[in-house]
Amino acid sequence: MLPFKLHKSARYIFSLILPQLFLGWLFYTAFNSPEGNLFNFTTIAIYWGILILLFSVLIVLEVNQLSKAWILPVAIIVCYTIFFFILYESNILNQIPRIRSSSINYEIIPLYLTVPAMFHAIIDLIFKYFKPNGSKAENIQNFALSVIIPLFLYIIGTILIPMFNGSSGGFLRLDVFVMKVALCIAITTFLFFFFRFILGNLVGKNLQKHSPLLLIIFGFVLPYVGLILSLQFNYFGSFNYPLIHIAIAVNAVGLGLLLNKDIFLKLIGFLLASIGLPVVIYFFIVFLPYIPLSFVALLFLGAGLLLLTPVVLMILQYQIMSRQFPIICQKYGKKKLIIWSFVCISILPICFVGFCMDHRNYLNEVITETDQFDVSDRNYRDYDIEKLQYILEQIPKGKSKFSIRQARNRLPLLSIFYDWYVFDNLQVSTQKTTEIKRLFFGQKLFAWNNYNPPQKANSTLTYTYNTEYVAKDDFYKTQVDLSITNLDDRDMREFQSEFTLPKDVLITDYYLDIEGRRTYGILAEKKAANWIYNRITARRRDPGILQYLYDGVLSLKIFPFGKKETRTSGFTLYHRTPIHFSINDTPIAIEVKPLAQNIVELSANSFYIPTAVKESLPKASAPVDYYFVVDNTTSGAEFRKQFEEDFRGLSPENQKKANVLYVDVAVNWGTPTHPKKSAFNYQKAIKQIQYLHRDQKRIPYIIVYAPYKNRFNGKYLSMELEKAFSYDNLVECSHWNKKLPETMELLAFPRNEETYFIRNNGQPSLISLNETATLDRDFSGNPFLNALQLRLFHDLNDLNPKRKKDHWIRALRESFTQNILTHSTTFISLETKAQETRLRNLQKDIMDEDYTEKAGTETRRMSEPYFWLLLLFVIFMVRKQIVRNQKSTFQI
Amino acid sequence: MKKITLKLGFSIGLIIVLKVLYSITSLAMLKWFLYPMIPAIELFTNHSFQWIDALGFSSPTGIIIEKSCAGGNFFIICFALLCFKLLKFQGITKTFLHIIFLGICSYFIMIIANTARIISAIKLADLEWTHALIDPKTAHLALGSILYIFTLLFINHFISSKYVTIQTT
Repeated sequence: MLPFKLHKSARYIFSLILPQLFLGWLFYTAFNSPEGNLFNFTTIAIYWGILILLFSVLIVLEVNQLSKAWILPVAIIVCYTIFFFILYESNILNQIPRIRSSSINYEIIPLYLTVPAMFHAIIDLIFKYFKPNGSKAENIQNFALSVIIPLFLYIIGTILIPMFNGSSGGFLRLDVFVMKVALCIAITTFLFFFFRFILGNLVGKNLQKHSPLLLIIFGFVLPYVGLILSLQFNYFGSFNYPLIHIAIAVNAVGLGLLLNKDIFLKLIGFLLASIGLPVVIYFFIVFLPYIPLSFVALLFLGAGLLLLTPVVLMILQYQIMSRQFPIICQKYGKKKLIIWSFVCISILPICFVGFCMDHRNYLNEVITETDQFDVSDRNYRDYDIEKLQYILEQIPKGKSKFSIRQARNRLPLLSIFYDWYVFDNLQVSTQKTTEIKRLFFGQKLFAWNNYNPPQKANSTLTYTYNTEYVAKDDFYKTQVDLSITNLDDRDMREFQSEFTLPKDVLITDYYLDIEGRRTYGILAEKKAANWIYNRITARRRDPGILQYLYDGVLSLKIFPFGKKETRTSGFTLYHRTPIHFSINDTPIAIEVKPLAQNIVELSANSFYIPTAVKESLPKASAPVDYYFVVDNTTSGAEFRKQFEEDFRGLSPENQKKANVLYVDVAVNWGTPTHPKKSAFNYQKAIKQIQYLHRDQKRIPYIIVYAPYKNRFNGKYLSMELEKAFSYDNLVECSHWNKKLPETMELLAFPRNEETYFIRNNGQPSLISLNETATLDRDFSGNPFLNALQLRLFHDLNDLNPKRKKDHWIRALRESFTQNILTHSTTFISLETKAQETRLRNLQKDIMDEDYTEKAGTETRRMSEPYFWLLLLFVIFMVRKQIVRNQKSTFQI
Repeated sequence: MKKITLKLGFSIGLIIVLKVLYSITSLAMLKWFLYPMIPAIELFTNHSFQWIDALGFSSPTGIIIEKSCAGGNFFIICFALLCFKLLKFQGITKTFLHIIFLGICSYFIMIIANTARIISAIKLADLEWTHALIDPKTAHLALGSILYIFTLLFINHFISSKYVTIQTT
């Protein structure tokens, strides 16, 4: 008898109830959205629920032998056939959000989770009432019937059914309905006879006899025919990978050798077949839900046999390997054979995981190079552009909607693992891929964004302020109240303005009055807050947003303004000196008596130097280092030529002193490489030089040889990158007067018996003499000084993108804790609790995405082990008890 | 055999229901679920933790204890295992009280196991020489799995011996 007993009724819990519950959960969660779950309990959901209840009851009745044995399997076949009809004709599959249907194939998932139960029911029925005796005649009869049924239906479908054709159109036509019913009956009958044929062969042990012939047909010829056809018609995905071709050949050879009489050859065959086994199982799983289709395909010159090949090959493989296993064990030992075959089985999965791992690491390196690079690492890296091209091609394929009708040109199922593993389940944003393509391929692309900003209001602004002196901590707390009036005769206008504050003025407690209510802004992660703001302005609701753009430049936006409407908003400033700035061209002056101006050590080797103190510092001449930053891409040929000419014109002494940086994707310090077709990584070159001079003991003088259009600035604007070079020490080659300065005049800041140089720009300075300085754990308790320390922390992080990435969460958390606006957070006023919940959910998603997987060393989440791992372990323990229980019952 | 089927069905149902509930629970709702673990972790690791709405329990050294580390998965598995092994289904009230008792037991077991897991993970991460041998994230997951599995084995052994005694007597 067969070694497996799938037809046992209680096993319907595993083949039907659990997969159906999983299916229901999958469909329900597919409708999750920031607004909650939008699943609509329509006919299909009610039908599904009734079926679950019905079959739970039927299984209980069957197990307790209270119902006829045929009722359960027949009911499953009939009810779930109708279920498929309702499901595929309902609208539910089109209603699933695109973002969900790009990671799960919702069209095929119901087949995967229901077809096995239907097969189970058919096999159950065969064993209970139509048990095959395994005779040759019966097997031939079954096979002949399974082949004849499609032809029979074809004849009925073309001659008899059109007679039902009525006048009304659409899918309610009687002939269409009759055809569908006939098709279902025919498919079930076909599968019935086909399974009976297969089971008959297993029972009669006929496969052994015909193995060589079956092996050549199903193990070698048909798989290759299928692979060749899949090259032309990608109906089921793309299988055109050399490893698959090799594995099928190896498997066929292995199975062939297993049929040999020589034990050593059998051993080799067993190991080769073990290598091919994962591919056989893979094809079996992939084609399992398509088996009913083989019925239709049988009409097309017997092409249905190709769809049945994986199933037949799987049975063949099982038969041959399981029969030869004890024979080989006799000579080589069971343990040895199991270990060897386990190693062989692991080869292909390991190759695939290794392939994914390589791509994942490579993608992370590329992302790092784009905007999270370590400026302290000046080694040149030559990137494999072809590999990157392959990886990036997979992203749009992965994001396209799964559909049976429109197969992706990818490996089915395994591509889901690839996306999950390599792209962190496709969380690589369009903006990030656009940046990568811009840097690595030199393509000028713009990330598609469907956000249409509202029209800017023509407005006036008045202000009042109220200053309070915090004596304990010696600083001023000023609440600025703004009253903004829209002068336009149109509504739905947005107030937008940018203003600049010095480094030692910090912002807190932003608010916006909404319908007479004072709504204080939530301090949120920047990306999340901006996404929410854009969504809300698109829906014409009430938000206000205040954030840093770069350096000391802030942006304030309020929406919406009605005709001539006046709205009030405001924020609180921490400061120690009078402040002058302007919002919307309205000068704002906060006049206070300046407090004592002293140098303050914020933490070890980190200092706050107020403007008044800087004025008293001595001037000093700082030595200069020269840098030539040359575009080493295919677009920079002319500039390279000019550089060579200019360089030859320098004195030999200056030539020796100068540092030449050849820049493509990466920066090559001193050695020219073959020009690449990429962008000129301006961001990295500038940041590296800036970092090298972070101690300000020497000053860089940089001359850039590169076209503007090919420059890659990352997330920065050119002026943001150039702001650190306020002494005209970053020069375009076209503006360079061919002279190199010897020294530059700065302010001397003596500390620890050394002289540091700071900029003489009439602004306060925050400096750290120690490059590894982080936030002091023990804050002073003074909110003003703590906020200054936070600002210094940002400046230090901004020096090195890697450090910024590693310390981002720290900066975020301190900003939240101190309620101080920083460059990584945003104040946003929201109208409703629902908007706030959406913001918090999105913030969590962004933080999970950015920290958990690609986190630096700083953040550590104490995540639990995988749930399925624990579940498997418990299943193992429970199974042991059930087996023990069964044995004891049997013994009694 | 019937009782085993009933127990199995109940345990599977319990896992599904709790897992669904856990998946829709927000971080804020888990604050008090996590809370009992924090003092022990603070005591053994010398890290202080503070609740931040957006993050969960967070320490100044960058360690975050939030939903993914709340021990919810272990609680579900432990609860289901205890129910499968110990529930007798004798009378509705008795069974109901029995389930509540097992739920409370599972919660305490989870607190012990999860606290031990987090403490050992923090201690392991502090041993920097291990980073060269194994990625800290993988090491953390492996350590957690081993600890959880040993805890489950221990519980299984403990309750199975009792179970066998009851059966034989």
